[in-house]
Amino acid sequence: MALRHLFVNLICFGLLGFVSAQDEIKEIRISGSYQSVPVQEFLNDLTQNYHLNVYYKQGWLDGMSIQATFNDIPLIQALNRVFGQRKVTYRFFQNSIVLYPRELRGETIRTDGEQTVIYVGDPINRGRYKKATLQGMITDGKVGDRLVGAVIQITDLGKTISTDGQGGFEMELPTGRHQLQLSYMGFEMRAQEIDLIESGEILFELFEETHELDEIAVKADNLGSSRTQMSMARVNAKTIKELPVLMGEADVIKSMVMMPGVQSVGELSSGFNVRGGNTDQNLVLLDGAPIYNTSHLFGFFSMLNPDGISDVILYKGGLPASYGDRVASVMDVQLKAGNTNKLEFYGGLGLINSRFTLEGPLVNDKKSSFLLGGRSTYSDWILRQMRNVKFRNSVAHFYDLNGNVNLQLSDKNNLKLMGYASSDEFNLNSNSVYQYDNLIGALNWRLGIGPKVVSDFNASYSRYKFNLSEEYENNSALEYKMKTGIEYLGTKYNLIFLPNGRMKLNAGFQLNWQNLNPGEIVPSEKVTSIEYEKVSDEQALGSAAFAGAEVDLSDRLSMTAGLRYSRFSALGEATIYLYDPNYSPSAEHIIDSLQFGKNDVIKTWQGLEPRLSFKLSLNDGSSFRWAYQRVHQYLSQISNTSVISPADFWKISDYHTSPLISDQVAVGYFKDFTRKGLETSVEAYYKRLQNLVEYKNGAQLVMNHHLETDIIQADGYAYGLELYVKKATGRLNGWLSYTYSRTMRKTDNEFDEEIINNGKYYPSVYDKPHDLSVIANYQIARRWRLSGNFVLSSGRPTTLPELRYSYGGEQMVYYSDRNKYRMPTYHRFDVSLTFDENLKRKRMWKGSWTISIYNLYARKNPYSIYYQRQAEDLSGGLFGLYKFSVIGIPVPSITYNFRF
Amino acid sequence: MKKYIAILAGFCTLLSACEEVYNANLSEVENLLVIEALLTNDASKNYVKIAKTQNFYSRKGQQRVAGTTVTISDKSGNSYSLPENSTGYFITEFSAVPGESYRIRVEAEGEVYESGYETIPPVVSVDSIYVQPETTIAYIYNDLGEPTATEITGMTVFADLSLTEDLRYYRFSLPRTMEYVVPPPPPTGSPKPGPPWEQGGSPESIWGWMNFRQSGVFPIHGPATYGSESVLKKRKLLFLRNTVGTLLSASRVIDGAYMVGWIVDMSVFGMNEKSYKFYESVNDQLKAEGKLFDAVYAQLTPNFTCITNPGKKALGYFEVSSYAYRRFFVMALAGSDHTYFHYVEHPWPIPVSGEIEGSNPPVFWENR
Repeated sequence: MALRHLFVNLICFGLLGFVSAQDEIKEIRISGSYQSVPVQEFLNDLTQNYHLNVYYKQGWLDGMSIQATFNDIPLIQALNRVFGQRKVTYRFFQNSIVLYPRELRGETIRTDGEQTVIYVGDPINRGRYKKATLQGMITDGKVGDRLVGAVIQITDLGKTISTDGQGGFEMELPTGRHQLQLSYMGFEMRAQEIDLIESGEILFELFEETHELDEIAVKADNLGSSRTQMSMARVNAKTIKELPVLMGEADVIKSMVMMPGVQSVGELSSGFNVRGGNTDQNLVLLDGAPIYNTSHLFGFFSMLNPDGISDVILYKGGLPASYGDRVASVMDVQLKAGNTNKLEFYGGLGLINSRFTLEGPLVNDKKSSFLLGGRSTYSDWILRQMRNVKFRNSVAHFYDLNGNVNLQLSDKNNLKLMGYASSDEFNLNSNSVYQYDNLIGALNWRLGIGPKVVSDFNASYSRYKFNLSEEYENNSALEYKMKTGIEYLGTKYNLIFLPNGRMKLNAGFQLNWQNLNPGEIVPSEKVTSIEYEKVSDEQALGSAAFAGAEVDLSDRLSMTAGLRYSRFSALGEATIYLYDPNYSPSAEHIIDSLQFGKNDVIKTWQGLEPRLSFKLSLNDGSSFRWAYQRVHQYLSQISNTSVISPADFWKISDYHTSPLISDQVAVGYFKDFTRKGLETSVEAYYKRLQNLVEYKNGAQLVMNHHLETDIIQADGYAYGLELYVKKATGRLNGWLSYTYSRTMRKTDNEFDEEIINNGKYYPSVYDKPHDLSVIANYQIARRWRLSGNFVLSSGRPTTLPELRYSYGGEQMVYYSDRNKYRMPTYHRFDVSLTFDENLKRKRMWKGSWTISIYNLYARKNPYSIYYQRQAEDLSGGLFGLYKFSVIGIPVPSITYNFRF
Repeated sequence: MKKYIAILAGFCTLLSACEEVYNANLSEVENLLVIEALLTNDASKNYVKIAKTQNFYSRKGQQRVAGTTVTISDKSGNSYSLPENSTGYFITEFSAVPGESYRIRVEAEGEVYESGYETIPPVVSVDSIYVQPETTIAYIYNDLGEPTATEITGMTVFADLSLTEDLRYYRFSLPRTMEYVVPPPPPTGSPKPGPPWEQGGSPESIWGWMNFRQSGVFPIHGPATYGSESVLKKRKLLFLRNTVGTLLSASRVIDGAYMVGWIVDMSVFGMNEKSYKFYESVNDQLKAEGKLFDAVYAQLTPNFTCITNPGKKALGYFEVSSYAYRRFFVMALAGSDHTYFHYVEHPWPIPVSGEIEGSNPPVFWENR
């Protein structure tokens, strides 16, 4: 305690400005050789040989040894080498050196704002260089995790960069003193002055927000991964876990739909919609591997375990040239690397599912790590306990497993292996059992080649399989399984060159092979009336080459330019039918066929995809940004349901089906009000779409050997305005996003069967003009946190019956033009109260409780509006329309999260 | 532990979806012409109805359209102008020939609507009807979704249907008549009398019958979607109760009524594939429940177009099917595996539901 008092007193002195002598002792040059001896010996030498006072507590240095040789080097460099990676750090005070645990340092900074200066380089070289390259890394000071996407602002130069996928950074700066501001969402902002003498490396640590003070400076990154990046949404693991969610299960995608321009169909929906795009227009990457179904349990949860996630970035526009394949967005999900320092086990127990994660060092070198996580549900068991026979006859369960091994082969050589597997099975009191699973693997190898070149290699595999079992209690001969699936194998290489701090270049290529099973009927029994049937597999070879450049054209104007060339070949074996051009394609109008052997090229599609964006920085710290992108999409999901279901299958662009092409222009204004802790942005976009997949009326999609005869290709456009205000700091923080958008379709084809709504524009099923999300977190006390979110959006377009008539003695209806009507407005308010884990670091077992209420005021938001014939009897002889709400009452939940 | 389970179950019950009537603000739109036409090899079954739709929430009944003409022609060059039996209702004076192709032409409200040629399949020969006793459990749900199980005893009527190159799709119409009998009340203090056939002779009894029309989803049968059958084996036609139970309305519940059996008037239509697909769409609409992952909606597409104004829409269908008729009697006794089944060779007309009192049943009556 006495030492702590001493330390505090010293800091008080520091406040009075008694720091002038510090520079003198830093310049003292020392020598000595220490081979695996206790650190105390080194400190004793400092006292005895250089007459320096060193204050510390004996217990802090227990077990700490030193192996180093110093040959006439500045004291500050020696101390950096001794304590650079330790739990204990140091501070100069006049002619004294004060040692203290690192967490005390954080308190010091927060208390009095005092800063130390970090010297990079040997002072003897001062003035020798005009510019120098500063490399380094930012880590979580508590657990050692590398912080991907942390932001470094060089405030005196008005420059900003962010850390890469490994938490590293590199920039060229003029030598001399610079003020840095380091920030990362959920972590305390750190201000740090550096004195850059020559090129060198530096390690920064940031600490999680600890809520001990009234004013906590947490600054989130809204600046993106490139100089000019816009139309990007980002959530990290902490944000995901703080949102009140259904059944208490934190969810990546449910969090992302709170961002501007991102929407979902409703509670029971898989995936999400970006700027009016279909769900299949989003490329979701898990450590670089594509995911083809992102949902568990009818879409209640996403398939991503929140505990295993490090960072999620969604590109809605301004797509870097290294990305492509989907026209609406790319969601890049980075899995967390394991802890390199210690073994940790944590997880959560929820009402219908539980999860766990185990992570730790792989070997004792504290460089390599592993992480293994999983989730499973006990909803099946719960359903069996229900009195309602509909539930008792239902099945609903899932599990997922994720794991990775992160091998830090050297400071610049990192290898990461990832694996993921999931399985779902459910039926809803019917003969149909839905079953599907994902299997995903990825290898990512990042290699620093010299100080300015980084090589990124990815190899990935993804497989999605769906199985629908039709079961008949009294007639097993009619039982069958319908199978669909998709398999992907791909590789990507990206070479990044950083010639100087004003420019970043990259170039690379992608290659992938895909095999699709559009449908297969397999009898379930040996004695069967079912004939085996299979729609021919589809195969494709995709490739792309890309190059991009980020350049500071001037102090205020930055540009990112890129070009991507994509190519896609549909491969045999296949029989391609040719149709009479005088009729809309149909099986009756086949006039010829083409036979293609295995791996023969059926059709090749290709296109150039330019990408260009600019950022103009203004004096007040705000910026204007502009971006254009063209993207080709060669793979579509075939679905005529109002929401995406696991049964929906994929189809490639082939002989008859053209690829979807999107051109998007976006413009935005971004401004941060640092003093108020506010980030704001306004973005507007316009998108033009060609060759969208639509369907003829009455289209039969499943097991269709001539699917092209039921597909219509439509054109469309979308536009919108997105407003975003975020308060990332203070006891009350959160964000507000509002989007006004429209997304329209048109089928202007030759034949009547291919025309929807008389060839006029009609709203897409995802057209929701108004969308508002408000998220707020309030830190009530040190460990108590109250969170709430409110969402409000226009109802989805829907098609309703307008006319009725009699046929065969039965009342029939005639439906309106497609999507002529709109469902009622969707709104919902959720709250949660969290009792956070104990902040004492020494406590082995830490637990937190979250109580949440989803849909607090019991809004019966419509999932669908539909006609039901039985309603005749209920509405006095009139026909009835029904509104189906998935959740019509408040849903409470409680979750216990633990860590040890 | 049980409490814990109850709490968990309660949470899940809370999640259960809710469904309620929704009053949409629908536009008033122009009504469309509806052409409902059936052409078979039996002239008495043929008809063409020309009517107009009504707006969805309109309380008006369907309006027939006056001043229309209907012509049916075949590929052999014959053309038949149909007489109008009543406003907008036409009959034929000819029977169509299986294997021949026909098309319809309707002139109404200044426009001409015409179909393509549709071919009549061969006439159906249905002689493999059979019955099996069956007990089903029906669940009646209260407001909380809690079920009460009710056992219903009865019988299921099956058919084996042949598949040929020209005939693969069937549609049934199965109106039926329930026969019951009420013996005379016993003298005071005497036990309840058995049914007349157990008492010997034909005592004075009440002979009652109740008609049920074919309604709801159309019974259609065809090869399984992915099937390779050569015969459609054991296709379920209908389920019938074997007790009068709640079938008699309150005013006619008579203590001591015995079910005699069912008379089923079976009409079988042999359809072509296009008609079968149309009726599948009809059934999709009739069965629509808004279930999870249901297709968005089932729009019915007619097989005719307006040739004078291609943008003009009309609804309905011109069904060209072969027709066959059989009447049969069927009964399965409660608590027994014994069943009764026979075809009725002389199908007397059955009046509307009613009762007569006497020692002899009505002329159409069928006994076990």
